[in-house]
Amino acid sequence: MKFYLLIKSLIMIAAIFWAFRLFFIKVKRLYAIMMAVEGKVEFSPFDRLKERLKVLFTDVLGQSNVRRKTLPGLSHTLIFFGFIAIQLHSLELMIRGVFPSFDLLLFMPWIYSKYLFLADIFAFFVLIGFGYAVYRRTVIKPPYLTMGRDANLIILFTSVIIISFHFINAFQSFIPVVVAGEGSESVTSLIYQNIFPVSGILAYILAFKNWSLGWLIFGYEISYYIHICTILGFLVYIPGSKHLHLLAAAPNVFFKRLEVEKAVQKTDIENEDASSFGLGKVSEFNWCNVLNLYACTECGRCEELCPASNTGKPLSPKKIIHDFKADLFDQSDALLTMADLPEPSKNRDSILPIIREGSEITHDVIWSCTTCRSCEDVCPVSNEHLDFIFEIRKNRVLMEADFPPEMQETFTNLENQSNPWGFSSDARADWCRGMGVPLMMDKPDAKVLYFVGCAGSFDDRGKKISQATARILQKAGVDFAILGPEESCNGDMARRAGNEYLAQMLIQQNVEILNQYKPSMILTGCPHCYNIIKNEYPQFGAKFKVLHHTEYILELIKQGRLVSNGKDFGTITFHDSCYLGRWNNIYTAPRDILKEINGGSLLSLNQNLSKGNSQTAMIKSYSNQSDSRLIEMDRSFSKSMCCGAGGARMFMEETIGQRINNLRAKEAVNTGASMVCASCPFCITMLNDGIMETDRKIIVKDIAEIVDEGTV
Amino acid sequence: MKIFVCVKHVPDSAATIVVKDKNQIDERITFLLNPYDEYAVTEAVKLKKLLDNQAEVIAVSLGTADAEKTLRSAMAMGADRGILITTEDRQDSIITARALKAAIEQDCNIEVKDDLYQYGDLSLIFTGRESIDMVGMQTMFRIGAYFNIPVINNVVKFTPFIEDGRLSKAEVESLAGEGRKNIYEISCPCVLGAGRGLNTPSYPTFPDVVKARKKDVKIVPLDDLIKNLIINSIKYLISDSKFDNPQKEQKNGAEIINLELFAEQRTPKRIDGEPLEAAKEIVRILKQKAKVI
Repeated sequence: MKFYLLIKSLIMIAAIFWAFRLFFIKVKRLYAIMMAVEGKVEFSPFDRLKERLKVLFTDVLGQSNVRRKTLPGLSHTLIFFGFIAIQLHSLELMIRGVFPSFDLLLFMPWIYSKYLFLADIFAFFVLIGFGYAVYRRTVIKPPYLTMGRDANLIILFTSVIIISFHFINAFQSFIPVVVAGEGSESVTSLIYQNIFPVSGILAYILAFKNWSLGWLIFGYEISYYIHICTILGFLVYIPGSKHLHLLAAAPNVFFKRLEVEKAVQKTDIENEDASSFGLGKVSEFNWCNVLNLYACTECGRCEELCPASNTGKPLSPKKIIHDFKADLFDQSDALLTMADLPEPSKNRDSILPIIREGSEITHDVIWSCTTCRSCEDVCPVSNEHLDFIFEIRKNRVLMEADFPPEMQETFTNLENQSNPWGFSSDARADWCRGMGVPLMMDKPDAKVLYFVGCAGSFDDRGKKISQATARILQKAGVDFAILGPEESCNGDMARRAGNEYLAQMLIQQNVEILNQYKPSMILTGCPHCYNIIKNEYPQFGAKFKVLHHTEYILELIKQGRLVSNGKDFGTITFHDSCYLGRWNNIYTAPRDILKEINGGSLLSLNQNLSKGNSQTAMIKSYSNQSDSRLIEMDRSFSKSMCCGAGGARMFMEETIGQRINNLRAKEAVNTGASMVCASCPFCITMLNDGIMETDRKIIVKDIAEIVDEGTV
Repeated sequence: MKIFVCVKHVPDSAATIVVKDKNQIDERITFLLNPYDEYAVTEAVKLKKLLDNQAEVIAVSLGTADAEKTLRSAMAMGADRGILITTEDRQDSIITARALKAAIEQDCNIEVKDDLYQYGDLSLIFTGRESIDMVGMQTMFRIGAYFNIPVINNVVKFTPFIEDGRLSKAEVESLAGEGRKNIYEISCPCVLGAGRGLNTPSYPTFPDVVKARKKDVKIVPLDDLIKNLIINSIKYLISDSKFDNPQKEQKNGAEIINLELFAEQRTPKRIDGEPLEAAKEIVRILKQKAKVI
């Protein structure tokens, strides 16, 4: 027996050393890759540590993001906590393999027995979690879920770990432990007998009570080897598989961007030493990007919601992350070699471009994205897919002039006339001719600067919306003025289409004008103007209070400056535009306006919408009101589906798959509402076009038009 | 080898043109590279590549100092350097062609020996098929005449013949209206006026835009050029007494007395009826009236 224990401890020392050594080599390499990439991180991942720790508690320990999908979330939570629970026990077993007499239960019987009791239950929960996972993978088979050897192997591995854990405990219950003394005088006792609730039942079923001690020890030893070997194997396997997730998810969440609002990275285009702009090669990732790639476990929630994936486009946010990761690992040798060399001898050409012959990430993949951000919103590990897309588009446009050919005219129009259609820029104020809308140059101290935007100034449909907005402002007695010909395109479209140079030119023009007038508030009618002026102009030295017309109209209603005339608009469904909702978290303002204007009363506005309410509660409170004539679409609030126009897609042909706007329009029609309301001129155009293709031609209106018609 | 592209700084057709002082355009609007010249620049850069980059593409323009922007655009699209002949006034095609010719001649050291031009480095001259502001369609023919070389305008296809790395001749297709196409074999050097469809003008990459900012633009005042011009090719131009005094020339040349806005008359025709019939009618109109198919 002693000889066996000696052999066992030698084997264990060797195995543990070997496994941990391999594990550390792999992890070290992953860390080296993270440090080798050269991209800059726009935000500061190390600030506000208190908030970050809180995020760790809610997102990781609280599993708040995973649980947004109820059953898979629950299943993940069970597995997560089960595995955490057995860690201490596994550690003890490893030590005991080397030092056979090591036993924590002897050191601290009370607390350790309580721990084992809980761990035994939690471990069993893991099996329940796996049961659901297997059911999901074999019966439900959601199309967005990656079904691969990798995933199946991991379920097998971990099930073996848990089952062997229970067997170890079951055998242990009937093996006496030396509790005192040495050699022949030692006293033994079945101290483990009544500790394990689940394993106890297993032991009872298999009638271990009747087994001889020899067989019990034999069974224990077999279970032990299976258990420890699987754990060690797992340890070695993790860093090379998609289950790198286990290591990277927590740090990824910890270092995430804390605000919902974000900006496209500002590229220093004046830097004459820069050899490349945007993301062209894996070496141009930043370390947060790399951590994003490590953290993804291909759960597919992003793909499930992606408007491109849903309409047969070649883009899947899940796959693009996978493909970036594959390319990063394929080129990691060259990357690490390059990183080790001092600056003058770094050979960046040794790293191949991401988009190359035979590459999975193609032109069509990167240009299919509408930048709707539902992938980022839903990602349980807070990955930021758009950071990749924006930067790779930037690289294609600036370095290769590679973009959908129809965009060339749009770029030229923006360059020459500061609007995507190429209308004469001096006709910018023509939409309000005869309405008595003053220009900022005539009224430089106006309190509100109404930034009309290109659609509101030039597009026939958009003009009606800005006219309605101007009338509302006049009704409410707002002291406002517009820029007119001094206004340029906000730069959103050029920026999201990767033309950073053009975007910065347009932004600069606006920034100079805005800084000249220094308005106390900027009002926009378009979520794209709103988002970029609010969140991206500060990068260029223009910080102003910016409100979208939904927010401002609600404020005017609350102040009593706009009063409903009681007009009945019938049932309305509201389409959340991406740049208002997911990009800026504005969901309730438009709904509150619709309630007030369409026969409601402001006093009945949801009292329970105080801070801290979860979005689920918010959605419930809106859809459960029996008197409400506001009908929600299947996908609304943060799950709202894009109209298809974002990310400059408005000006690109949609030739692959089904048209996104048709799908969304169908959804709106299916609510049975008599009108669909949006708050973005581009959404309005897209929905209008989409509804033409359906058999029920419902009306599409901007919220400003409804308010204009529905107020005194 | 040198390939020249004559480019013009023109008002953006999208801009609202305002007439100032009866005969001038209010120049506060956007000016840009004449769209047809974009085809010319693109084709010149393509030709340079076919010549294994053993040629230089030079953009030449006559205009105000502001026209340097247009030269920079041409250089962002691939021209190697620029020559800007500066003038304060809008010049007619006679002066323009002479000035362009003089600038090209100077740059290439073109000589006249025994009454014959020695073209030196000159390989080819591209222009746009017309400028969108004056729509004169004369400059390219005048340049050709002054150099005594052939001219083809509205070129939609250009196939160069390159022997021993030199451009000897080319096959050129030009559009002659009513859907008719002429195919020529032309000796080089020659003047080609680029038409729509010759190529797809490339959008410059950002590094090209940055490089273009640093490329060389030689600025030659029109007056100086005319003085040199008389010395260099005196035999061919001396008879033109106008050139003795550039100031006098401007008075005697074409003078714009009055500018009026031209509002294009559009009379859309509505075709009613069944889709099949309507389609037939469209085909008939395209065939018989527009004569484009």
